[in-house]
Formats: sequence, C-alpha cells, structure tokens
Amino acid sequence: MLGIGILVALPMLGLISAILSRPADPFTGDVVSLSQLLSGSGVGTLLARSVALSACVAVGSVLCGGWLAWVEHRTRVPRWWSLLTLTPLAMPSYLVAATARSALSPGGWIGDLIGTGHMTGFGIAVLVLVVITAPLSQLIIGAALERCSAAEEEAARTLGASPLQVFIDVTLPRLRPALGFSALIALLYAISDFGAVAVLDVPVLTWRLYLAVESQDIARAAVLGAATLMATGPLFFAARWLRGSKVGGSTANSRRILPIKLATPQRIVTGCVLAAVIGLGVVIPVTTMLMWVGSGLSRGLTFVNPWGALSDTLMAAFAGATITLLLAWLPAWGIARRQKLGRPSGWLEEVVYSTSAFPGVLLALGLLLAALKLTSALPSGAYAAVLGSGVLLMLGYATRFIAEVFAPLRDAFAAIDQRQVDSARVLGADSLKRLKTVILPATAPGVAVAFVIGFNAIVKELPVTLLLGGSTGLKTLSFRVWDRYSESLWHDAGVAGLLLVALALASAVLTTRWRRHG
Amino acid sequence: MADLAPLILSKLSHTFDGTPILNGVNLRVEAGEFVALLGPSGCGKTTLLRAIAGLVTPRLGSISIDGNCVVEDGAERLPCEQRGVGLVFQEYALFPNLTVAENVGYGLSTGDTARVNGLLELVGMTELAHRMPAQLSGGQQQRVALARALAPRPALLLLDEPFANVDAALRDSLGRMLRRVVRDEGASVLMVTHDQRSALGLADRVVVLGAEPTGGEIIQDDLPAQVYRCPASKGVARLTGPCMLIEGVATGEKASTALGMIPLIDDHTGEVVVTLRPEQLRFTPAEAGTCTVEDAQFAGSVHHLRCSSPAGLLEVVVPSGEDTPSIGTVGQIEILEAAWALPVTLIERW
Repeated sequence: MLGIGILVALPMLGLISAILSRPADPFTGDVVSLSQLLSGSGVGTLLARSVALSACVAVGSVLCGGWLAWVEHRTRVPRWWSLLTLTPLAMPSYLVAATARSALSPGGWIGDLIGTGHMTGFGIAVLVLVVITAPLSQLIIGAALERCSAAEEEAARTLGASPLQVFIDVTLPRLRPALGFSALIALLYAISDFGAVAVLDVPVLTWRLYLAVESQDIARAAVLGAATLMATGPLFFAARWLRGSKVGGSTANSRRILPIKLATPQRIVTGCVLAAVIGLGVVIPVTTMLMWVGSGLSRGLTFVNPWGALSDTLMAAFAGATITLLLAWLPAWGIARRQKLGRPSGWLEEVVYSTSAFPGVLLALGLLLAALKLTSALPSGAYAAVLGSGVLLMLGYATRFIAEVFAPLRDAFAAIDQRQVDSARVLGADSLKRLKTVILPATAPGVAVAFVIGFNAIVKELPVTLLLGGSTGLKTLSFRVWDRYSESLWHDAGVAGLLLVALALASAVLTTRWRRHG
Repeated sequence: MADLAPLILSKLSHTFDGTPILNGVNLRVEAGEFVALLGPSGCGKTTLLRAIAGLVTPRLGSISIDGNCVVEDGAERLPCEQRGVGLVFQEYALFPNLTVAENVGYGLSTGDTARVNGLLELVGMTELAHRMPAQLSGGQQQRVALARALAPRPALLLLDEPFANVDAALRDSLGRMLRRVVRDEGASVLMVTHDQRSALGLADRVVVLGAEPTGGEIIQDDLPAQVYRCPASKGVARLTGPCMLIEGVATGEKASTALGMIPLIDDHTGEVVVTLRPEQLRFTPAEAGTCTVEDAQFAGSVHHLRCSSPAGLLEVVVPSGEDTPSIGTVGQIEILEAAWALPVTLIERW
C-alpha cells in the first residue's frame, strides 16, 4: 500500500514543489513569477490545441470504431475480422506516425504515387491517432452492442418503426454510455500522446513539455506539466465515472440479433474505414519499415547491431513488468478479497487507477523533479547517481502501467474459488499445499496475463524511456527507433521498429490466448 | 473419560456483523448415525456446518469431534485441516486442474491408489478416473466430491445441500448411493438441507433448525416419522410437507374446530392449532356437503384437490381414476385418523 502511495505521490510532489519554488529562468537566471510563466509559455494556446486535437480524435475514433463494431456485431464477418481490425492496438503511435509521414510525404512510396504534400501537422496527427484509438472504441462499443437485446429491437419493428428509427430509439440509448466512455478514452489517449505529435511536429502540451524538459527549462516544464494534468485529470475521472455504466435493466432476454446484409453504400463506408485503419495502422508501417531496411541493404549501409537493443528491451521490460506486478500484487489481492465479500473496493482502487491520469512525459517530468528535490540536500552527484541507477526508470514504468497490470491481477485473485480453498483445508492441506494445488493453478493464467500486459506496454513505451532511461545506458528498441529516426538513419530505425512490432504482436497474441485459457 | 461421540455441539452461538446467526445449539451425532439438519433458508444451517468443519469460529459454545474439543467459546483449539472431518460442498468445489482420481486422492497423505480405486468403484466412477471435473455431469461431480470427502476415512461426514444441484430423478438414485456408501464406510453423517424429502427419506434422525429472530435454534430433534407426524411448531409443520393448520378448542383427546370434532393424538385443554396432512383427509361427494372442490391438480397416481370448507381451504389427496371429483363438486371432508395439536402458547414460535 505504501508503494502505491509513493508511486502516486512522487511525481505530484515533484511537480508541485517545482511550481511553488518559482525556479530561475534558464537563460537570464532571474526568478520568474507564475504570472510571467503563464503569459510567456503560451500555455493557453498549447492547451487549446491539445484539447482541439483530442476532441477531433475522439469524434473520429468513436465514428470509425463504432462503425467497425457495428459491422462486426450486426453482420456476418469472417473470423479474421477481429484479429485484423484490432492489430493496430499493438502499434506504438510514434511508429505509425513516423511511417505515415515517410510514406505519404513527397518522395515516399505512396506520396509519389498520389502526389500528396508534406505529411506533418494537425490533420495527419488526428488521422494517426484516430487509427490507433479506433480499435479501443471498437472493443468498448462492441461490448455494448453484444448486450443489446434482439427482443427489444424486434418489438420496435413490430410496432412499425423503420430500421433507422429502431437504431435511434432502441439501440442508441443502450450504446450511449459506451459511446461516451470510448470518446473519453480516446480523448485521454490523444491528450496524453507524445510520440505521434512529436514525430508529426504538432505544437501541443506534451510535445512542448518534452522539449522544455530536454532544454532543462524547469519553470516552463512545471507550468506545462500542471496544465497537462489539468487537462487529463478531469477526463480521467469522467472516464472512471462512466466506466461500466449501463442504461436501465433489460426485461427481454439477450438472444443474439440476426445478422443483416450490408447495402452498397454501407459496404463502401466499411471498406474506407477498414482501409484507413488497416492501411495506416498495419500495412503502411510494416511495408515502410521493410522498405527502409531494404533500401539500407541495397545501398550497402552499415546497420547497428540490433541485438543489443533487443536484449536491453527484454531486460528493461522484464524488470519493469516484474516490479509493477509486485507493486500491484497486494492492492489487487486486498481489493479482490473485499469485492468477494460484497464490500466496495474503496479508495485504494481509485488511487491505483489515478496513475493513468499521468501522461508518460508528465510522469517522467514529475519523477525527475522529485528526484532533484529529494537529492538537493545530498552531496553533488547524488541526482546523477539516482538517475543512472535506473530506479527512476523502473518507478516510471511502474507508475505508468500499474493500472493496466492491476486489473487482470485483481480479476485473477477474484477468480479463486473460496470453496475449493476451504475444501483443501478440510482435506488437511496446509497453507503451502493450498497455495501450490489450488491458489496458484487458479491464478497463474491471470498473473501471466498481467505480466505480459506490463511487458508489452513497456516494450512500446517512449517518453518515460527517453527521459528517465537515457542516463542508465539502456538503449531499448523504442529508444533506438526514436534516436535513429531523428538522425534520419531509416534503415536502423526500420530494423528496430520491425523487432519492436514483432515483440508487441507476439505478446499481444500470448495475452489473448492466455485470457481465453484463463 | 472423554465422550467419544463423533460430534457434540454444546450451546453453540454465533453472530456475524452483529446479526445473530446461531443461538445455543445443542446437538449430538452418534457413531454410524445419519442425521439431517433441516431448516429454512437463512436459519444458519450452513454456518453451523462450516463451524464444525473449522471454516467459521463460533463466538460461544463448544464443538467436540471424536472426543476432542476443537473449539470452545471463540477459541479454536484444532484448525480446520487437522479436524479430520469430510465436507461435501453444495457446489462440489472439485479442483478443476486435477483429474477425478487426483481429486479423490487429494486428502490422502500417501499416494494410496488402492483407496482411490476402491472409492471410485464404490461411487461408480472407475471408468471416468482420468477425466477432468469440467467433463463431468452434475451427478458425476457429486459422486467425485463424496468420494474425495470419504477418502481420508473421516469419522464424521458433513454434507451441505448435497442434492441442491441435481434434478428430482437423479436425487433419488444419488440418495440411495449416498446411504449405501456411508454405511459401507461406517461414517457418521450430518447433512444440511432445506429439502424435506431428502431429510425425511435418508436420515435416521431429523433435527430442525428454526429461523428465530435471535438466531437459528433447534426446534425439534426426533425420528423422521415423528417430525412429520408430530411437528413441534407451525414452522416445522410447514417445512416438513403440505400441512393445514386449523384453530380449535381442545377438551382432552378431542378438539372442537370449524370442521367439527377432531380426534387428537395427545390430550390437550384449551385453545390449540390442529395440524392436518392431506393424506389424513378424505373427500366424499355429497349434495348436502359443506365443502366444494375449487381446484383439482393431476399428479399421476393421485389428484390434489383444493376444497373450500368452513375451516378455510383444505388440500386433499385422492386416487386418480374415473370417479375423481371435478371442480365444483360438493361434498364432505372426513378426518381419517387422530391429528396432532399444538398448544396455542407455541403458535408464535417459528
């Protein structure tokens, strides 16, 4: 419990202390006031642009994801539909953005064909983020569509309602909470994203925050950080509030709705959405990276050995996922026990989930500032030692992903059948035997899923790795992609990106299989 | 010298979050005896069973198993895993990751395959020894759970609603198997149930736990036939089968009621409630009768008639046949044998 408290408190402490201590201007050395900072940092414009970008992404994500979910649940789709449409979930946003920028810009393999202009800025960032968040919306809205009752819709039809009227009067009210929730999730994702906006050079809060941290402009970084938190905080709590809410109780049975046949205009819309999501989310990234590698090979360029980055990635992800799992263990256990007794999970679960409100770049900043503050009384070099030790990096990973690891872990503990444990006790099994024969077999798939989710997330993670991992000497695949892409060494970025996607896809497949098994 | 009865409960009381669950329960199970603990939902039956098994520690009173005091006034003296009782859960709680044979052998410290095979044969599961629990039907799972509980040769076997999850046809065959298996194993049994048919049909003795506001307490402890014929309270009467309660005034061995004079099993004086079972009544069509058939329900070999009478609605069982009275038939209800009466002082009791 103390661990969770530290995870949440540390970045907040760093951020608040930096704002309160009114640090000096990095160029003039003068102490700057808060009003000066607010007026000089352009925080208002950045905030407005971040909100506008996120709003556009949310609308696009709900429309595309909702359409894909509707096609999946209301028509006869092939078995590979879900696998294909959900694959972009495995793609890091910076890879999708980088490959889209490269392929669609003049000189790119698609840009030359269709004659597009330079692919940077607000529009393409919205498109990239819509493609990445649409599968999330598809999952959420799909679950709500699954719960819709055939009998209710059929009753409306027999009362003379047209298909459109049925959708508006019966289906849509049932989908409303899911639509709201998926919009909020897309908003939160887009406003927190760093990779895509950085690659596509969109001046929004997270990107400018990263630049401020890199240039060691602590005052500006703290103000931008506070503004980011002000934007993500309310969205996070709204999403928590909407999570799992349903419209009324159905009096009808939950018989599946008979699949319909799509009309030609609907087929065209489906084809366009599918082309955008699969094309931009899977085909373009993989093809572009393969072309980068092929071009490097044909031009005889020297490749940096990728195995070092791969082993660093595996090491960082393994250590990070293990630490995150250990920190989530006790709260997940405690909350699962409380829920089994029919008691509310209380504040602890909210605290765990509140870590999701920190975008990666803000979290890294908070931890850096906290470390700076806490080591200020220590001999010089302590801060560098802490940063270089990797403690901050592991803390960053744990804070960033504890909520993702916590949920499957809690579900795994909740799945323990107390009657089986009691049965083993009555049959004379001591606590060790009960753990070995009843508890571990019941929880192992869930624990494994939790670990792989953490592992997968760390493999793809960028801002925390860049800001907190730089001094550790770890050069992970995401770091390699970012570093080589920034230096226009496409062939190296391609190799690292392909390895990263393979690793992410493998762990995503593993998670899905274990989930089914569990 | 310690009393070596398989189970002795003495003044057992328990509360949960301030709500009384059990109140001063005294119970004794003799060696080889099959006792059914019958009670309505929420009377504390399962809590009592879990307390005996060691999964709940009662606040007051004591539990002795095979002469060992395992808990006394809230202090646990012997933990669950050392009590040596067998427990069959309502949902069976088989270990999903172990085969049938592994489940049965779980409680055996050594890999006693002969014992496992013997029990599997006893419950008719030899052919399915290598199946996983998920591949079994409800009845088969119940057999495995029973064999697993019996494997460590417990002196006392506890059964929690063993027939709650099987259909009526299977219930009878499983019941017969249960009786045979526990007799062969020589185990004493305490079976918790709310199903009067299983309790009256299987047990040597029936103990009725009433749902009193002060917590569950034993209302009656007797032979099954006695509990059925002479219930100790209105609650027991209703719990043990269809029953009509008719108010009257007793003078010795008869009671004056709206149905006329009813002979009583025991002598009483003053206000009483007479308990009548459907099979104690006979309906005879008669034009000058005071009763009318309001509803007739076919149940195979018999018909269940519901008749309006001066004493209210009465249920009568008549053999099915061509002369079965139809709805609207007027007639007379006759009482075939002496009835059981409860003094009015016991009316308020559960």
